[in-house]
Parts: sequence; structure tokens; C-alpha cells
Amino acid sequence: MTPPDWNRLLLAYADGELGRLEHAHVERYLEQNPQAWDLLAELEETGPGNFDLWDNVEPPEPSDDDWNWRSHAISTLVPAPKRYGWKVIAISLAACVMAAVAIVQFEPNAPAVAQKSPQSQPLTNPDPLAEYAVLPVATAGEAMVSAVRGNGESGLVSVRSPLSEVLALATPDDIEIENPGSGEVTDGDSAMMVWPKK
Amino acid sequence: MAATLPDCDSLFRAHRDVAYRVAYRLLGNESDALDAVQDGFVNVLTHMGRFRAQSSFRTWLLRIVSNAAIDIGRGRKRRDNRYRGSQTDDLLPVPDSCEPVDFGLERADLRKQLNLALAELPEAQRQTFVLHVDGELSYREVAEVLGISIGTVMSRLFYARLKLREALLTQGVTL
Repeated sequence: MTPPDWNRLLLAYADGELGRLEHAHVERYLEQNPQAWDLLAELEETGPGNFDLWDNVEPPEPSDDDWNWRSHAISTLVPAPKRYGWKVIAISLAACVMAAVAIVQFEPNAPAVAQKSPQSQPLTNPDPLAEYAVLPVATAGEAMVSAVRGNGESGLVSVRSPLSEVLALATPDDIEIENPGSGEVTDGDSAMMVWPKK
Repeated sequence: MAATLPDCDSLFRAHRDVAYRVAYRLLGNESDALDAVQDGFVNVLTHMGRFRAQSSFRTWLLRIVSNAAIDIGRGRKRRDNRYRGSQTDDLLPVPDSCEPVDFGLERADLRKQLNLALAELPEAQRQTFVLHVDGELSYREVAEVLGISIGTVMSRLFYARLKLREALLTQGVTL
């Protein structure tokens, strides 16, 4: 068992840092070792309890002008909190543009897009989507999506089931049609991805 | 995320005095102490997001302010040594020689003597002592601030107190 370090214990006693049991322990030690009172007194002379000393050596108090100047300097030097509002607006705008493009391309009466619609062509090619650089997958009213693999080249990431809003775009690398007859679209692991709404 | 300005101001007003007292006692100079307080607050308020409330704001602030004060003291000592052409490794601060005139001479002298006595302590003992006495931190809080054990805090305080007493008595200060 390590013998108690009486120097430390006396210091802690002087500073009121001991628990009840340790406090009583030190008091017993002081009764049995009266010479320890001298060391205790020396420690107390430069301790925080010597108010006669510390009250007389208080640092010079800065003026109000000093404090105000420092306060102003601090508020100038502390960087303002980062604001993300402009990023949210930019991303929202980009999403709206992409959604608008997707809707226009899916419009059955739009002649330019009609030829490229996967449903308007016979699905004889094992990968009928290969000709599309960017595939408009579906809108909320047209399809239910259970999963989309990876990020489309156009930045697609929207995995919700059922799809609540316009999905976005995917590339042929992201999805492929496994069973063109039924219109099911699956990823490479055969997990169903898109069911065109009948 | 940095604190908003009203938070900055209220935190500054609530804690500037204790921060200044610690910095002053470590540097012995009012303007340097104010620099340390300013640096400390800028650092703390810039990194408010890192404050985890595992310790009190005051202990966190005092750690940063006392470290800023020590850095300022070291930089000042290096400049002084270059100016004097000295190559000593002594990094102790030079006590302020420009006391304000509105303080009583006796009191200003006593403060100067205390600064000199504190300057004779090794840096680690001085920082520990000042955080305890002027920062009003408990042993546990000092240990937390400095990242040392409570036993080490007690050991540093024990020797710092005896050395400080001896230095003050040598200067003729009555305790």
C-alpha cells in the first residue's frame, strides 16, 4: 500500500479540496504531528485563501474604452456563421430545371421526344436504353421506383418508394431493362427498379 | 459554427475579467494580457461548434486564453532576447514596468514583486498556479484544462506555492 503523500494532502487540506474522510484523516495527522502546522501555514500564505495578499495585487483594471475596443475587435475577427441559403436556392433551381426537362421529354404529344420514348419503340433490343445518353426514368405519376443504383451522369439520386415527386434522370449505366415485355426495369442484381404504370 | 454576435458579447462580458486576470498574471503586462484575452475569445468564438459542454465554458476558455498568454510570453521573450543579443532559453515574461499612476505605490510595488516572483517559477508551475488561484479552478478543473492528472496538479501547486513564498520573502514582502 502506498503511504499517503502528506505534502499533497496538506496542500489539498489548505485549499479545501478534500472529502470528509480525507479531511478528518489530515486533521488526525496534524494532531499527531504538530510540526506539520508550519508547512500548512506556509502553503496557506500563498494560497487562494490569503485575501490580504491577492486583494492587494489585483491586476490593473482595463478601462471601459479598452474593453469596448477589444469587444469590437473580437466581433470583427470572429468569422460570421456560414450561410447556406444561396446553395439551397441554386440546388433548388437546378432541380426545377431538370424536372422541367424531364417532364417535357415525357410528354407523349411532344414530337421531338416521342420518338425517343422507350415505350414508343418495340423492346426487342436486349438493352433498348443503350441509345439514350440520358434516360428520363419517370415521374411520380408514371412509375414507382424501389431502387436506383449509383448516381446518374446527370446527377440523379432519388430513391424513394413510392416516388413522391419527379424522379430525375438516369443513364443506361445506372439501370437496364431485364424484361422488356412487362416493362420492368431492373438493375444488375435483378432487383426491380421501375414499373411503368399501366 | 461561430456564435452569433449577441452571444459573443454576452460571453465576453461574463468571462472577460477572469480571462484577463489569468492572462495578466501569466504575462505581467496589461496590454499583452488584453491581447491574450482577445486572441482567446476569437479562437473560442470561432470554434464554438467544437464546444461539447463536457467541461464548463469557463474552463475551455481559460485553457485557450492561458495558452495564448504563454505563446505571447514566449514570442515576447524571443524578441527581447534577439534585441539584447542574448541566447538564453529563458522564456519567462518580463514584468510590466509601466504601472498606471492611479494605483497606490505600495500596491503597485507589491504587484510588481508578485509578478517577479511568479516569473521565477517554471512555466508549467506558473500556469497551474495561476489557473488555480486567479482562474479559481478546482484541482480537477485545472487537471482537465492542462490535460494532466490531479496528482500532478497538486505536485506543481505544492512546489509553486513554496517557491513563490520564498521569492516574495526574499523581496521583503510580508505574508
